[in-house]
Amino acid sequence: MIRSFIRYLKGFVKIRVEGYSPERFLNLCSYHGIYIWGLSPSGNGYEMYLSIKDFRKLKPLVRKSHVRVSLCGRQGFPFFLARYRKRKLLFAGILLCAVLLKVYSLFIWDIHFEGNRRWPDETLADFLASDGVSAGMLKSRVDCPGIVKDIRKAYNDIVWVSASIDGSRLKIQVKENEDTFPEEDAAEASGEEKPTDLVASKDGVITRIVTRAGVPQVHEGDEVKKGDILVLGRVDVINDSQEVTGYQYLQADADIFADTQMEYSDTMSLAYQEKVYDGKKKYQPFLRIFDWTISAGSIKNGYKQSEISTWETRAGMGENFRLPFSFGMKTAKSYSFKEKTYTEEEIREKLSLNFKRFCEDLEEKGIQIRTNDVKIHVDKTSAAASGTLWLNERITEEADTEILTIERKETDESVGTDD
Amino acid sequence: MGAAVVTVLGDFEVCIENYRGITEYTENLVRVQTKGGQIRLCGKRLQVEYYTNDEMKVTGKIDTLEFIDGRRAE
Repeated sequence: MIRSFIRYLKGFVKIRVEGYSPERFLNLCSYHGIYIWGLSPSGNGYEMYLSIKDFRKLKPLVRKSHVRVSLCGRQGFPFFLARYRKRKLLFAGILLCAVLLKVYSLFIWDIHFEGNRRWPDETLADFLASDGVSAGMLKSRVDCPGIVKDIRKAYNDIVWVSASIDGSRLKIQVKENEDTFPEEDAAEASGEEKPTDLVASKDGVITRIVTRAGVPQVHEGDEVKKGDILVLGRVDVINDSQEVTGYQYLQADADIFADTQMEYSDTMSLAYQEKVYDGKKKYQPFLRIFDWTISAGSIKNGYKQSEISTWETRAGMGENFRLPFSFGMKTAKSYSFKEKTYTEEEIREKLSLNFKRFCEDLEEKGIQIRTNDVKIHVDKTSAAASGTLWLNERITEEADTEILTIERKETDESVGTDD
Repeated sequence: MGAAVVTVLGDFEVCIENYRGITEYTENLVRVQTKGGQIRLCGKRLQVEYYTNDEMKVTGKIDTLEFIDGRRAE
């Protein structure tokens, strides 16, 4: 493979040798170290390939062996150049291609982020852009250690950053601190702490209570009503004689789970309307440059009912390099409604699918479903799924703590001393 | 020594080293001169793959390979 490529680069010729003793010519060639390949007999003589350099050395050998040598073909890069030497634009094109390739490789065309979960790519890209790093900048002006420092400075919860250039792509790998919770951060950020109680958000029977802050007011097994205080955010301050002298306020915090009940009902009519597309469509392709839009045709129509959909693609390269051009297509589709009714089986399937989704939603919220007695009843015109779900869930809800003030008996005392 | 080294691979490839030169070459017959005598290769579609000062390779369907005392056979 490589050998044939080198042959092509250096150029080679195909010759035909005829005469009294072409074999003698071959032996002379090998004796003088002339490399021959593709030797094949044809008629009275032979055809063979040899390189241009060797072809020039052939003259004395030809005279010695009394053969006639004729040139059958010329192949290879030097002949290619010679053949197209008048086509200046072709060579200009090849040169331009090489130059552009080199020039384009001097720029960063794409920024790729890895390992970020809390901070989306767009946010990080915007931050880098404000820092002067964006797609389309010169590669030599990218300061990887600087980028790393800036990101670490700007984002506290990013614990590790690596920036590297991979071809014409800037690769930024980050590691976020997974231990911090955004909710806590938000609460801390708001600064002022309002004292809060935890109250029941639903009726139920407490199954588990773990208090972290505050005074628990209920025990496991207690029945609570909606709005009952579960954990008090007000701690009594008691003096030596067991009298309450003041209060300390804090934000109550606890995990409280309770068995609760929930009614479920879902009704569906047996009759429904189905969309039937009649195949009539109108298209409006458009091209957008900055805020200018050029479009062809119109989707104005006289359809009774129609659906309009639009797709748009923005020109660009990679993930974060976008040009201000976009193109797309608006489509209007005509349709009409057709009255239909579900069969009993279909409606049962639909209702049970709805119920399944409802249960999945609950479980996603961390609510445990202990049991349910939901049943489906089908009438002539409608169908309903109804029943009760028995759940085990977190029932805490925050509410402001009542602020109490202690009436001090100072006045009474002063009266006493006066006496 | 000066003897020719002939390597035969199956019936489709023959490699000859240490030879003097080709005396005849057609599609069906290749004669190679060596120091001790001649080598006669008979076959079909014979082709010389390459040909240098110390080694040559012949491919094709080979039927016979004979060693002949060159000067007497000529």
